[in-house]
Amino acid sequence: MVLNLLKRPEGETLELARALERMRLDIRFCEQCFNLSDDHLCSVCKSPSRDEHTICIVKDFQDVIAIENTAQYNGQYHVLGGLISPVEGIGPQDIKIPQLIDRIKEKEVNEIILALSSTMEGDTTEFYIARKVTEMGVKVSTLSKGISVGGELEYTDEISLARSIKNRIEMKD
Amino acid sequence: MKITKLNLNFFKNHDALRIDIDSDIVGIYGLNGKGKTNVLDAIHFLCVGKSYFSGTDIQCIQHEAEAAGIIGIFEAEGTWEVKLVLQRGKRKKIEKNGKALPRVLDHLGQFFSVVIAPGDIELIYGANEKRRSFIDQMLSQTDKTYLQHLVKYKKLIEQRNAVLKSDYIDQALIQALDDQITPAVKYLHSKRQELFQFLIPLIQRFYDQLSKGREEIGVDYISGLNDSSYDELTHQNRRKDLALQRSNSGVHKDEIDFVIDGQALKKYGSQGQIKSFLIALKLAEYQYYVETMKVKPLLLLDDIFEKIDTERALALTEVIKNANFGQIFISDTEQERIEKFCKATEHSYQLEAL
Repeated sequence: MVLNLLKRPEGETLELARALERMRLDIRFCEQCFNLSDDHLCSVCKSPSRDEHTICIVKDFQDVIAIENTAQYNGQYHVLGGLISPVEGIGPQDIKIPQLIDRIKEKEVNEIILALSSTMEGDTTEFYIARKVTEMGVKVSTLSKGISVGGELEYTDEISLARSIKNRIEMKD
Repeated sequence: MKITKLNLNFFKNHDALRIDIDSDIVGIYGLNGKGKTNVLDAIHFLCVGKSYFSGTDIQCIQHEAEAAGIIGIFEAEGTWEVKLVLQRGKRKKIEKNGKALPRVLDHLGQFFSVVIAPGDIELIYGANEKRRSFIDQMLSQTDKTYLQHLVKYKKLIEQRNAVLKSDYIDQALIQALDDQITPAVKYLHSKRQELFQFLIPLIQRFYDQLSKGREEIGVDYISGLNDSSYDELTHQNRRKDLALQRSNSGVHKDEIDFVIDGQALKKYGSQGQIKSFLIALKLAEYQYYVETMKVKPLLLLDDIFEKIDTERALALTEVIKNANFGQIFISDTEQERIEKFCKATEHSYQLEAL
């Protein structure tokens, strides 16, 4: 990489260096949702067109990018920064769950959507949050899980297939 | 189900062993230390992806060898080449007809073997864990959902114990884990119950054939879940969990006791009764696979004449002659004795000297 940069015009390399410096100094975490941001609030939390009564819970900022790419979600996010795993010493206090509870207490939140990975740690985190949040009278939903679009039935693992059968949907015109 | 070829490379004491098989019964004979049991173990390894006789995979790799391999050609609704490679410091690999399986667990449920060996005595005298893992092994091979629940259950209990050991115990977190344990434990318990209902009459039937006695055989399956739900149990054990810093409710606490005429076999059974019971238990296991999976497993008889005693071995010969078994592998130190056994079963046989 160094040799390549040395071969390029000086201006281009210096511009890249300044961009890297800005990225390192300016990028921080959103104070509300803990997504990456260049301000104290991220673009999603700042946007007046986003529904602030619905919060989607994700593990990492990469998950925010993935969901934003679908252009199907208009609510806000809450980035946990990890999943509960007591064996690894990660409890609810070690990820952004207390901040989520405070946020729900302070704002008028109607629904939270749990969008965590389908692993045991993901499930434990979902069950934990669901318990805490339901007590507060907030509706809790989770992403539907099953066969992926374009996936062959015979190659789908049994758990996904079983979930798809259990959560089947009626075909309508 | 049959094996037609078996190759062992650096597996335990075998540098390179090749056996071609075209008989129903394979008698393997040789002096002690020649590796007869290791051949049976290799067959079991190919069937379920782990050793019957050694605690770890590393123990199966020959000293100074970097890796060990077993290849077997199975005839089981088609021809299957199963290749297993054990390497020091790496995960074991299983290939089926040249295709690598992502996980060893994916291999379970196609090839079955039942081992009868002197060490089985541990099933009687050993800790409950031995008996639990014996039935878990059976159920995991015939029911993928059981296996999935079992793997998940063990991890969840580990997580739950970690919470109980932490400085601050978050009850909501315990509850979040219990929410997931509940369906798993319910499934595991009900399948264990069903299994015992199925096994007890079979054990009795084989026991009667093997023994001249008229004892009544039973299995006591003692589980907190027999009378209470998991929720009730965790509630009852809450203080105990906190004091001992581990989970005291669930199927990992199940006790399984073998019973003869209403009394504990391990305390009151004679040596002969115990030996007959063990063979009957293994034959019941065999029959379980036959009926649930519609396969005839490989029957692997290790050193039964020497350690299990001639009288019962002869009774077993009668059972084998009259019942419809699949392929049988049997090991012994004496050529003459093993040949006599093979002939008595009235099936095609071959002898392999080690």
